[in-house]
Amino acid sequence: MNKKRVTPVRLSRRVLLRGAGGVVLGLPLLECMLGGRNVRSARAQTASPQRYGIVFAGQAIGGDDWATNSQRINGEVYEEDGHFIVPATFGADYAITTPLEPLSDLKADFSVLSNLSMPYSKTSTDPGDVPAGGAYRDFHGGASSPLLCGVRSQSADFRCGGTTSDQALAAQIRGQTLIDSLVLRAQPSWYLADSSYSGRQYISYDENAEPIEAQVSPLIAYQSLFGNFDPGTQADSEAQALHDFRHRSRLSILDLIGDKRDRVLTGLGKADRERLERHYDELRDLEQRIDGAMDLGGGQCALPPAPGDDPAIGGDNAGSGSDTIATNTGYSEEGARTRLLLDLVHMAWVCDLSRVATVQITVFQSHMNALPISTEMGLPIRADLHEVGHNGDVDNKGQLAVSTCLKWHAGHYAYFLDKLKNTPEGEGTLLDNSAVVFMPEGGHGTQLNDAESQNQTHSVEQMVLLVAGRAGGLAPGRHIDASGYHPVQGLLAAMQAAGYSGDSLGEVTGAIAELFG
Amino acid sequence: MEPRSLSCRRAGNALGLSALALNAALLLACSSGLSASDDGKSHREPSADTDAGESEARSDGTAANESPGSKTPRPVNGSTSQDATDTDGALGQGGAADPGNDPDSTDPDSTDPDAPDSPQTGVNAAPGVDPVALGMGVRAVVPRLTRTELSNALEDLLGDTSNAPTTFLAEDEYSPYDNDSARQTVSSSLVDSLQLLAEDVGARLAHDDAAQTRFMPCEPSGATDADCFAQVTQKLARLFLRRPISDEDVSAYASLLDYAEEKQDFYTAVELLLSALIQDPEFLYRIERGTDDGSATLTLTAEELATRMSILLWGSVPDQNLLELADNGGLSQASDRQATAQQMFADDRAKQQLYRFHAMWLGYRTLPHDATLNAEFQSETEHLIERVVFSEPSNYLDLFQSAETYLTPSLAQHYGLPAPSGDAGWVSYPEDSERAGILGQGSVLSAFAKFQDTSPTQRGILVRTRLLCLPVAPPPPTVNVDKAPGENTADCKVERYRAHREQSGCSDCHNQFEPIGMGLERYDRAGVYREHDDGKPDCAIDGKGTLPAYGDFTGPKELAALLVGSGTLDDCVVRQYLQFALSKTQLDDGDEVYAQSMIDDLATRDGHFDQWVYDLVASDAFAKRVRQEGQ
Repeated sequence: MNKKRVTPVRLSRRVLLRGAGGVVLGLPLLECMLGGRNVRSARAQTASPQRYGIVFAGQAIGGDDWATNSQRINGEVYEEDGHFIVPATFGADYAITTPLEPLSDLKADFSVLSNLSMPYSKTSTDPGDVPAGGAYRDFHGGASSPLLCGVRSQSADFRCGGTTSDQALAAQIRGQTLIDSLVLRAQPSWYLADSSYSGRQYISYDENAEPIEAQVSPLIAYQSLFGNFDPGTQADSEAQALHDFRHRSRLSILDLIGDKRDRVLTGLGKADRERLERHYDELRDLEQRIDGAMDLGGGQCALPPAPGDDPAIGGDNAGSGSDTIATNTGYSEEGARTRLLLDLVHMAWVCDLSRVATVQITVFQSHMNALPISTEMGLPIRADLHEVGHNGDVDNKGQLAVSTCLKWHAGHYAYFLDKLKNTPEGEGTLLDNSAVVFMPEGGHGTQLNDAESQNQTHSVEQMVLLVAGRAGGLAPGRHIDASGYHPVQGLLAAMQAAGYSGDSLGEVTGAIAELFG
Repeated sequence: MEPRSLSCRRAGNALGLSALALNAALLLACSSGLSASDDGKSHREPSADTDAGESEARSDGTAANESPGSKTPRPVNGSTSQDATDTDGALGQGGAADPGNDPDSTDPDSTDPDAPDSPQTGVNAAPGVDPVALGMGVRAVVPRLTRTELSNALEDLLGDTSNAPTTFLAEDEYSPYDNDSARQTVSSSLVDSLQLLAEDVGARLAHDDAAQTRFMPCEPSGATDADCFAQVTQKLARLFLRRPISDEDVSAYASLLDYAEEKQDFYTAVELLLSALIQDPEFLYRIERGTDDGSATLTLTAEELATRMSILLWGSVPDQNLLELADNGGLSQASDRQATAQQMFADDRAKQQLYRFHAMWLGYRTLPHDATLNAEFQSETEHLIERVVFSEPSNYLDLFQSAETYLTPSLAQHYGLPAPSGDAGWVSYPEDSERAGILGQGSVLSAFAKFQDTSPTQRGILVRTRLLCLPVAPPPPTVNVDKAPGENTADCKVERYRAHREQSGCSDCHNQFEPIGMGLERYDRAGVYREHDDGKPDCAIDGKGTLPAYGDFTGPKELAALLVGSGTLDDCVVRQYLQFALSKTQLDDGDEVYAQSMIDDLATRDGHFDQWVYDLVASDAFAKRVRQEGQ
């Protein structure tokens, strides 16, 4: 079976209404009709829900063939410390590095895990020789499954062999919030004409290891998250009437479609049936999300302003890139998109619509044009993001070039943490009840493919995670030497902080206890 | 299931067979060096002058399947191996490393994303059903309308030209075609987006006068005119759900009139009706239930058959006329379908659809130049396709051998060719020109470039995988594909590539395709003729290439002659088109007999693509489907 969600059986208010002969009755809303998806009841159950999020950066942390203190900038080659993301010293009193600059005011709110690594066979490229939780000897694809879900990869495919951390946690707390998890992506296009994402756009896989397509439109994400809610007492009567009308008509339409489910599925072969069942299940889930949306409540929770139209999607880069990279092809205002998405996650967390979120700023092996973002960071680089990690442009390459782009990613993470920190909740802040991970795609060290070359971006050595927040007793504010740990062990700590009861994800067991102090 | 042996290929084509065998042997030799990994990987091609290297080809799952000794190589759909690709761009296929010029270059990226999740052979056939024996091809799991198909459908059914689906829905995956249902996923983001798309279209169209003229069969007497609403429901549901609409179906939607009453506006109910239909899985998926006669195959219903035809030929769902024709039994006989396909081919939608197929197949669906030049390249190529297939139908291979091309004065100037008379027109290539056909046009020559320059590796892989439908093996994982091999510091590009090819461990594979690309090197990434490296007069480009197993050539014209003479190009065209028609990333063993029969058919039609397509649609296989497990 392909299907994932377990839908609680419950009485439908509309079914009751229909049963009453279509007469619209002002039936009181009974608690038993809410099927565990009522926002207010969930809030009442848990004073301070714990949240879990991942902010993903599909880029390198170092430059190929460049030591972490080396670079060529504006044509000049030089060595200089402080640009590699990993601080020079451990503990709380470390010096902020270039990529971490946007986080300098939040230094006490996150920890740096460095020297993380994933296992791989140094002597064999045979898929059968990949160790548990390990990487297949072909970077990008081969390193994705162990990183996201702790399951060894056995090919270069971008395909998780298990459930990702966000979905494992969401499954455990299912029913406590209206929406199980938020899966969002800022980079809306692959940007190359003759190839395709081919799995690079997924960082969330469900309980059946099926990829979850992210929402890439901030506007649609807004509408699906908040568009079904009562605009509240501030709204004028016209807006209120519009809301009421839309709420009812949406449900009527979904009823019409859902009522045909059995008839449509009858007579289909197994494969076709499973595909369509999945679609109908998602429609039912949508219906429940609409049905369960009442009023948002109050306090810090309020309908956020609607974003405007999505920024335009930039055109493709030329083939595998070209000098047209100097233009704004291959860029769709990912920065603005990221912040709009993070705003939505923030308010969804405030309102306890969901407690789990992934935001993929850039896809694995991203070919987003790096020129706009590097220009924004003060060092224009004429290459796409992937190329920055490997070759940079003619004049700019190596550590500082890479760190400039990584800093841009980290800046969005900082933006989100700052919002959480400035949102009071209970006795503290929303950040106190959150565990938010910043996850770059790879490390910097021995090349995974040849198991030999050094200072390579295609590496699962010297990997880094940032873990922010104080959910579940996390004790942030330090640079921790995580030598010998797998990145998933960092995820496990964050997951447990947010309420995950297990001690393993995929083939990886044991959280990094040091994150708790 | 074991791949079919080579012997199943068309007999009588001795040249094709031997060439194929030779290529197969090369592949084996190449593959045998691999350590078990088969995945593709890409290498990058560094470009020297710029330092901007790029990654190269990779292979995809297919190639993987061909790896070491586990199977007999067979002609596979090119895209298979290739297309799956990449990452870095280009064809991605196989993994070949392009030697680069840039010492810094590295990158490997491998990837292979395109590998199908599971072997497709027989996956959609019921146990005990032998799709090979049936010889009709195995359809992919029920495909959902692509973004383009959805846009076209909304235009054809409602007159909506807004292209709203491209705003509301995420990008489709290309492999290289956009309709591979194995890559389609269903998530909450999809249903959310579809809901908002449906509401947007419903709100705009229900109250639009022109649209109403199109879909309203009656004039409502008031907001709650139940009879008129039943009529419009019958009409729209018929179009969107593509099946007979019962009274029961119609009455289900009648509840929407309550909303019309509430708003005192009849068209409010129409708006909700449209929204309901556009979100309906019966509209969104190409469901084929068929009728059961107890055999291993199911016969498509009239509507399902009409849908297959319109999706393939028009990239859209059937319009009212086609559905009515189907209703009246007008598609049940092969001769009827033949005639209908001919009529459909005369419609502009057929042209647009075939242009789109070619752009995905040959990798120029987006072009990297300024908008004006991009449009001129596109127009040039479309005129050639239009002439060869539609307006002056001839042997399809003329697409590769045409001695004329359609130019504007500015495009003629760009190429350095004689200007047309007037604003645009056909121009004959000069006597000494090396150009001919689509391979000599800026569109195809722009595809698969790397930063700042052409990639002989990628161009060669394009020819090998998409024009000969031969696989490209992935590079061995133990080779450091991230870097240009050795001390590759030669100043001239051709020398760097030669040094690379001569390296042991690289040569076997790279010799399969790189010499092909070398024969096109005199055409830069904007299709402009050159005789030396950009900015390096001392680095002469001789433009000499080799199509392995077939011979030497210089330039697009001679390459096309070799390809046409190979007897393999037309086979590959058929395979590529069938892959698109079956919504798959690659053909599999269950499709082989079917593919062979269609290859044979093209020969009987003297290579006329239009007539071949009519035959395809008229064939028994087109009107049936292999019974699926559980069906």
